[in-house]
Amino acid sequence: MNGILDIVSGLLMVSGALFVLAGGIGALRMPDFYTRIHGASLTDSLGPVLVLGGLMLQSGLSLVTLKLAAVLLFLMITSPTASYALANAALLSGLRPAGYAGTPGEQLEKGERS
Amino acid sequence: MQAVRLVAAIAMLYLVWVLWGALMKTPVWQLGLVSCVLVLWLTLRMGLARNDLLGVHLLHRMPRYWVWLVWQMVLSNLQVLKLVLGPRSALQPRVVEFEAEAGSPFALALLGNSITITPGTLTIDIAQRKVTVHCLTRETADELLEGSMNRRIAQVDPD
Amino acid sequence: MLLVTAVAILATMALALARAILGPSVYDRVLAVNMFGTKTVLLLAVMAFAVGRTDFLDLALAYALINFIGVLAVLWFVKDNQQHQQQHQQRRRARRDATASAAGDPAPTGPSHPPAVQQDHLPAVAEGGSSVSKDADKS
Repeated sequence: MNGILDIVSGLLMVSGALFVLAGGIGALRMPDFYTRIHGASLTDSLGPVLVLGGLMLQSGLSLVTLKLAAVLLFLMITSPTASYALANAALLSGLRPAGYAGTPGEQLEKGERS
Repeated sequence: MQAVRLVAAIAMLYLVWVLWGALMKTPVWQLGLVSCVLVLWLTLRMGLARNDLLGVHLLHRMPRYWVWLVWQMVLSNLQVLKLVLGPRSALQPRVVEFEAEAGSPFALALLGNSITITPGTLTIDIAQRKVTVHCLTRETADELLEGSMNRRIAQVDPD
Repeated sequence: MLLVTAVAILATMALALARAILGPSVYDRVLAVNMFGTKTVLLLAVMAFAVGRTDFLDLALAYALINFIGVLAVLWFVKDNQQHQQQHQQRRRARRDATASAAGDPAPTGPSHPPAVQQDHLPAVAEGGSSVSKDADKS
């Protein structure tokens, strides 16, 4: 039983590490800033879930698991927020992605009814 | 009502304080209580504690959404993993705009963060209900515009 | 398994560092630093188990907090600095135009300028601060 749990948690962690590494490669080799954020967000979504999930399986039901869950929850809330703040700041400063013609902060015409 | 909320906030902060330091050592509980009250006072003073930002009353509908979101994350992670390791010519970055179905601050925050946390789509601007999203490929853009995430969030927060 | 994971995370941190050095724009560098920070949190969690000292997890959470606030603060600073520079350039251009057109009459531009600079400066800082916190609320 314990052996199986160890194997599963090891698999989770290594696959998480794979996603994290792929995200790092993505952030390095993507062609422009906005696509690089996509690469980096690969390291922020499933990577932490798998790595911290694997660690949670290893620690069993204890205070440590609770702390890991809190770290995971915190990362899941802050990392997209930070990505959004970064992308929005870049957009407002005038760094426009290819194919974007609008003005940031402007509503859709049909959205006026709200 | 306001008093209940303040006491609940202090209780939650105190729980976090206990979890993060007091279980290992002998706690000085007065110190913890004072720091909780201080944190709450500073938060109120900054004007960050707004009623409509907290969706506590919607929390019971969240687990179902989270399960769905984790599944979406798995799918889009595998998709982007292939794109990252594959040739650059497979990328077709584009910007799409659509209107959010639910317009409360909580629903908009949830929508924006859910879009960003699934790789391949990235929220770059939210104005009122208009959400501007940067997509990595045509498929991710089409999937987003199909609108199942938007509908599910409107189910979580139906006002 | 723990060591394999730790090495992969370290390699990712090295890649993020490379992006921070290469990154053409400030935002690329901030992105890389943010990534480096979140990977540090993961590394701390993994090392806590590898070394067998689970109190490293407290450090991981504190690091996650500081990283988030730090990235927002840097973005605020960059945005504020850009606005400030733009205002500065506009003001310098306006002053140059004023002196070129009304060279014989320095009275309106001369004394009125220092208070105008003061008043421009202070609201700009306050505005930057509130807009950053608005970003954090909104997303």
